[in-house]
Amino acid sequence: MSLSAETKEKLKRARELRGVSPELLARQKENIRIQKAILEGALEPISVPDLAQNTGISSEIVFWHVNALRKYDKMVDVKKSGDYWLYKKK
Amino acid sequence: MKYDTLVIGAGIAGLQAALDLAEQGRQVVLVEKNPSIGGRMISLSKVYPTLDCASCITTPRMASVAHHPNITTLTYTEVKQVIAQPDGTYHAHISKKPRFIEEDKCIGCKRCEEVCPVYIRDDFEHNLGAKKAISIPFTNAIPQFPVLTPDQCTWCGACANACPVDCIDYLQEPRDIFVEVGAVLVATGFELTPFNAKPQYGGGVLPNVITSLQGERLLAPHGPFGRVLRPSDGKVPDSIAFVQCAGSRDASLGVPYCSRVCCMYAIKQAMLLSGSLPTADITIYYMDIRAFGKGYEAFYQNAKAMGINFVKAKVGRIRAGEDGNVFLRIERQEESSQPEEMNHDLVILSLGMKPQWNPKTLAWDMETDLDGFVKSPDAPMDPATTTCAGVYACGTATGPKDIVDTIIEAGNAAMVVGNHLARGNA
Repeated sequence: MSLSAETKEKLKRARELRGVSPELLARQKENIRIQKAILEGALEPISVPDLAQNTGISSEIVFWHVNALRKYDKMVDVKKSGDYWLYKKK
Repeated sequence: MKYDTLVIGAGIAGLQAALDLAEQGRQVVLVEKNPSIGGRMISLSKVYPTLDCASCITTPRMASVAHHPNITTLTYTEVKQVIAQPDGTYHAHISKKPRFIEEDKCIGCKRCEEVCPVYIRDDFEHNLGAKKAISIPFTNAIPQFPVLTPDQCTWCGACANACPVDCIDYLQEPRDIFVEVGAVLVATGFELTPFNAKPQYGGGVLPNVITSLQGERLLAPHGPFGRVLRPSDGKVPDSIAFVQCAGSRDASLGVPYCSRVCCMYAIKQAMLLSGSLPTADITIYYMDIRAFGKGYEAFYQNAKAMGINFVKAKVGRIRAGEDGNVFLRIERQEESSQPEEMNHDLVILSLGMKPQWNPKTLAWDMETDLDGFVKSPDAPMDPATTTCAGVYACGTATGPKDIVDTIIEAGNAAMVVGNHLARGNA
């Protein structure tokens, strides 16, 4: 569905009025990079510590994003292995 | 608009009182500052001592309120001012915050949420989980409308592009609503004492030290991780500790009182954890166990019989160990009092209750007690009455209490408000 002329105009004005902070843009860019790395690293079932080691991203951040991606149907939990669950790109 | 009663807060107290008043034939306007009704209770896993599903109890009440012909529910709305009138009625100024969607058009399809590219911390999950910059607050939220978080939005237009009914309104502004009511009922609930009030406990710094409400979400069927895992790395915790009185009974924190619920919710969470993780070692470090309600002592004894460890000790400090583990420095209050260090995978701080809202912000005559809760000058004989004529209060707005007591108080408050209206005071 394409934007109506009224919505386009409102969006343009919202951008002018509120803007987007450089911090938000930087965080968004970083989140996209992390999620891309996680999805590329999870083609086969993998645990959060292994994903963290392979991507060089802290396990706490990896775990948060893994659950974000699970919630929005981009990853699944596969099985438990030892003390950890294994996750995979959907 | 004229109503019989303004109920402020749509947690379990406000829901119950609104329903009881509506069943008396009274017209109620129910105001909730959050995007959904349900309050704290809808986010809990189960309730003690019956271990009934909290969501299963709360959701039908939420639905009853939402569909009741005598109740007008205003969510994502805050009371800005309440002014007493000479005839005993009140005029209230209410402000509806912008959701950035047109509610009369939205069909709750979640397409906007699916396509939004911005992931942010989910406040319903107490930051353990994620949501999008535009999202429906939680699965069984009422109403099922998304909310756009403007300071997290990149204004990319993806949500409007995906919306099948063209209901996104990027320029929506707050809307003022004015109501005239015969009585006001304050049911504004509680918030936890600050997580970082005791820096020596590492709250907000150590990822595997969490709050009791985060513990509830870990145990909830639709929780952030889908099961009980620790936040630092997703490990299935093998050793879990509860630290009691982590935010209550401490004059240095300004919370000298007992919050009345922490012992029981910790025992409940410990029992649920024991069910989810049968091999895990679960320890509760406590000063005293206060199991005062009907069936509570039996609940406590059951927990002990299930193998939950109860250690009477003071926790002095919590520090990070290796591999995300957490060390508790404790001093036992029975047997040896030599300081010891205990190693756990996950620690849950049993934080206490403080008032969610200061009624003095409305510049009316309502007084609070020294602890900040609404003052009930005639408690315990008339706990719903406040220092303001025609204004009543119930639930944790007046002091720490559990769900059972809150529901009883809400029913009483509805009756007292009904009597006030019937006397023609308004």
